[in-house]
Amino acid sequence: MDIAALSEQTVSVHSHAAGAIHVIALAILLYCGFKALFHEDLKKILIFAFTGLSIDISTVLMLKTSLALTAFSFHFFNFMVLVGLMSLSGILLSKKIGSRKLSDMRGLGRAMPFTAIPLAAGVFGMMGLPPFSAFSSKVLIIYSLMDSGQIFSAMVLAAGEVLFFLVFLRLVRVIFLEKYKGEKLEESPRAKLTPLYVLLGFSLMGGLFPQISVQPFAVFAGIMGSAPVNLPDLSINWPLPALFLCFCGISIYWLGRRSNTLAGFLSAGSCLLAMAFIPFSDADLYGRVFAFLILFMGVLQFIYSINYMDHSHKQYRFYTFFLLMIAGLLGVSLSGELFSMFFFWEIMSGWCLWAALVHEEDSFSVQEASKYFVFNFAGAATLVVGMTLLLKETGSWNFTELAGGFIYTPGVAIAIAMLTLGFLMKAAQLPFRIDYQMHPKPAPTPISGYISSTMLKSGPFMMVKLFFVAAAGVSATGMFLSLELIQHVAAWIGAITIVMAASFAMLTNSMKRLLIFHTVSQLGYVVVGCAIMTSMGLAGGLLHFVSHMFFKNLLFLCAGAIFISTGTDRMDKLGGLAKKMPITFVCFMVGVLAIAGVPIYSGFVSKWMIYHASMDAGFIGVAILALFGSVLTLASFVKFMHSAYLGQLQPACKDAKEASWYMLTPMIILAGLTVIIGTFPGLVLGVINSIVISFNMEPLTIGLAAITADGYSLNMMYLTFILFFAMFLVGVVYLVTKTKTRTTHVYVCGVGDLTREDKHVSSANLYEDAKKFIKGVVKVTKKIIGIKGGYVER
Amino acid sequence: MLNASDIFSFLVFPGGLFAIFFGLILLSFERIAVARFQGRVGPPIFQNFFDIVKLRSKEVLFPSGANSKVFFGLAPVFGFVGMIVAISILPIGGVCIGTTASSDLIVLIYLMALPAVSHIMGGSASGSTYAAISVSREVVLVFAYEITFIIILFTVAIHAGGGEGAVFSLRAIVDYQLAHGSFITDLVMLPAFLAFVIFMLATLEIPPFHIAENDADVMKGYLIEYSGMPLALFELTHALKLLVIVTVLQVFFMPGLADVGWLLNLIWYIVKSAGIVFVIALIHASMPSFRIDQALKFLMTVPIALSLLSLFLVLFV
Repeated sequence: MDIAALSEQTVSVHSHAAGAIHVIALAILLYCGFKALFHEDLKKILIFAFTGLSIDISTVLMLKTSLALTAFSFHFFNFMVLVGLMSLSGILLSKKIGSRKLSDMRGLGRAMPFTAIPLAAGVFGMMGLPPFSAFSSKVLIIYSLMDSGQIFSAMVLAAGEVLFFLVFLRLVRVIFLEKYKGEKLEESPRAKLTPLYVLLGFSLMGGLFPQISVQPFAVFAGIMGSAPVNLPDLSINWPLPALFLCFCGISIYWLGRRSNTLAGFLSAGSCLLAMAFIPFSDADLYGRVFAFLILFMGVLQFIYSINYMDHSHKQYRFYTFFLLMIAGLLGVSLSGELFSMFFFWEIMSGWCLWAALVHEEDSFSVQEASKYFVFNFAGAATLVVGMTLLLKETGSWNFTELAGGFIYTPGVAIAIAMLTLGFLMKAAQLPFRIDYQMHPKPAPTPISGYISSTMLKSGPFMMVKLFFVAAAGVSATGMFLSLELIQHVAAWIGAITIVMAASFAMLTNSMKRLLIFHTVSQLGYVVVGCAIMTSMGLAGGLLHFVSHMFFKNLLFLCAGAIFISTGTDRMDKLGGLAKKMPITFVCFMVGVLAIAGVPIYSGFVSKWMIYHASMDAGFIGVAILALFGSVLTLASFVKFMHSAYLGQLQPACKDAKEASWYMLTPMIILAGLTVIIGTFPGLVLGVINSIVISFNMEPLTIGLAAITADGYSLNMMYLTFILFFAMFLVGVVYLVTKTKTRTTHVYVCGVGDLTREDKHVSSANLYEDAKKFIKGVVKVTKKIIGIKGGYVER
Repeated sequence: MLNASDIFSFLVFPGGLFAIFFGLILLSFERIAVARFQGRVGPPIFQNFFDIVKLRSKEVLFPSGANSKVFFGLAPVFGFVGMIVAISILPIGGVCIGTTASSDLIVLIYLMALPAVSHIMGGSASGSTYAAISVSREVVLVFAYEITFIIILFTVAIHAGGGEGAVFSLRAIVDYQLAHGSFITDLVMLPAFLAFVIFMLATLEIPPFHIAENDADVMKGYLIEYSGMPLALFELTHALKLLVIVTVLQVFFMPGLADVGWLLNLIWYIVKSAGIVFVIALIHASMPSFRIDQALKFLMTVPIALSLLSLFLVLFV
């Protein structure tokens, strides 16, 4: 046998062995994961989890590249730090109560927070969430797999993390969020806690400065063999406003303990101050405009919370996590490269968000928030696969560099598809099981409104950025997975989601779920607009991006005002609130008319542009579905309007009072903005036009209130003028006819013994036939696809 | 931005005074025609004017259940305003071209939804149970017929583009037909035309779609608590809506005669409108009404299938 054949055989044996080891590792991973998921003993849970994860990451070593060695040693070190953290904290906890059973540790984190916090930090670190060190090493490990061309293994690794994510989530949930029933416990002695906090500091430092902390391991790999060649740049660029908000958030945790009002004002003030930093940021105009809107909405939200959160507990905690979440969002909007973007993305949709969402701590909100957390984690896993693949193919994470020399290869196409999928997941756009993708209903309303109106926009925001980076360098290729195809599919996904989410909103009986369904549906318009890469489509999508921010938040705040004054979220319990809360009602109507796209309210112009753009691009089906979605939107909001505000006054609303000025002020500001943007879209379109130009596209021809394109035009000034002129004429006729008015009883056909409840047609009884039709469609769809479970109510 | 011809088309012709006059005449004409079909004499041709004048002098009753009196009084204005603006942006083939800006299909579809919105708001605000039921029915109807209208609208827009993308300007659609022949003579558009007739009956709530404001079971539905001036406004809106729909039908399918003067075209427009109303009256007089679930089933199948057929024919033939 000659040497060439021998070495060939060796390679084949090696590759078979590697495959076998992969399968074994996968089996162990799954076994350990499920064992840990259902075990009762804390120690066993930790051991199973550690074993599974370490075997999982060890498979990287089989790549035999120096990058893999660096990644492995870096991750293993971080891993050991976290293991130490978690086991020490776990031992201290179980010593204290003399039991290792998880069921005995319920709510222990509340009784001894200082001992338990390292455990929580370790858990979040293990999940690979920033700002702990395992975050960057996890990205590096997946990248090293990508670098050797093991795309599939990278995906499996990312998916395997989700299983352990569930294990760890269970730990935090039991230890921190269940009710504590035992007697008062003292914290562990300081001497025992010190090493824990040293380790925690290590982990934090490693997470905040990954570029520095990875260096020793690169040197180590160099000593062992050769220095890694493709080590990516892992430095995190902190935008100044985001850094500032993080500091504010952490300090409010202590400063805000005195009172809710103080904490609210401090939070609103820090958002206002952070705005001052934005002009000094070196991000592009697109990012800066989004950052400004993020902070502006934050200010409104915090002013609203001052009164809304009064009935709640531990408000400082809520404000802290809310501010950290906003800081993450700011980071996403201002980052110039993908790694920093992803770091902030994980802060935004990771544990900060979860901690803010479970604020009420009842089992329903914990369950819903955890479900959302899991979904976000899966979305992030998709993103990390996409971005490492993109780095492998192009060699850069920096947007400007990417746009400079972009070559469209099959690998890049898959990367863009994965990233688009991740961004669509953020915006809850996938047209199946929308209820899993939606943010939770029982969270405090200010944060629900913020997520709906602002945070979910990060998905379309990044999608647009990605598409335009990719479009800058596309050379015409006959590839199947072309950029056009990805965009076409994205537009169709958006259009189907519009109709689907709006139909579910027709069925629901809960105020907030209705609004959340409509968030999903309206984001569909944004996605449709942005996925059509013409100036008109992009401008329409971005205009809807902004106007949806205002009117959807407005609607959420109105729903929150109802919730505060009546204490119920169910629409069939409400009725006749318009008399009790007139200002809220007017604001709500502005929101409804805007979301339904009635002319002179802000939704109209953007939808007009999106329909035109989709027709120009030849997306006829998309345009039809989008227009039909408008009808469904109107119908479901009529249900809300009728059953909550109009009709007969119901017992639950007897003592309802108008909301306080803290709550009304943001609502009135938003309602005013909605009307102003609707009448003078040029105010926003001017800025959007500069963004369109910055993407190297043809600018639109716009005036203050007019849009002109090839062959059609819209003049809102004229429309507004004649609408108001006609109203004025009617008003004159009304006034000239000086007729008497008189109040009479409502005609009930002579029946005298009907109560108010009998006379009220509640939301459950509206549109029975249309609902039956939609339910029929859902049933058929379910049968075809083969899924089970209730979609709408939970 | 605003020029004299826009103001004229809004205040005098085809909107404003002409629209109100002609709309009310058409409404009366329909009543007379229905009466004649049923062997009655019917009201005089100016009956609807008398109704309006009479209602103007009546006192206005506010139901005690009305949650927001302002809203209750304001609701009819929405629909009226929407219709009076809609008629002013519509071109009449060979006679006038509509306003210069915003003469657009998408604007039209939203303006045409406003009467339904005002019915819903008014009925809901009155606090009456009958009105609430009729509101629910109205929304179901809108849900059912609107998709037909959307598909027809896109079909027309694409067909008027002549193979080069869609045309959304109403004026361009009329011009295309004046140059290439009316769509009603085009076999491809025939299913869409039939679908439009069904849509027209449904949106005007003519039997067989006399469901939401049925006198027999919900006692005029959302109008039950209205009286005096607001009721007069609803009546006016109804008249205008009839005119708008009739005009839209002509814009989409039979805009006018090419190469004849405006006077002849105006007469032709009036004759056509009367003819369409005559057909509506014939259907009105001869049909019983659907139940709401039957109407939904019918509207979700027949007109949608017809309009989709047209769309496919336009796209692929």
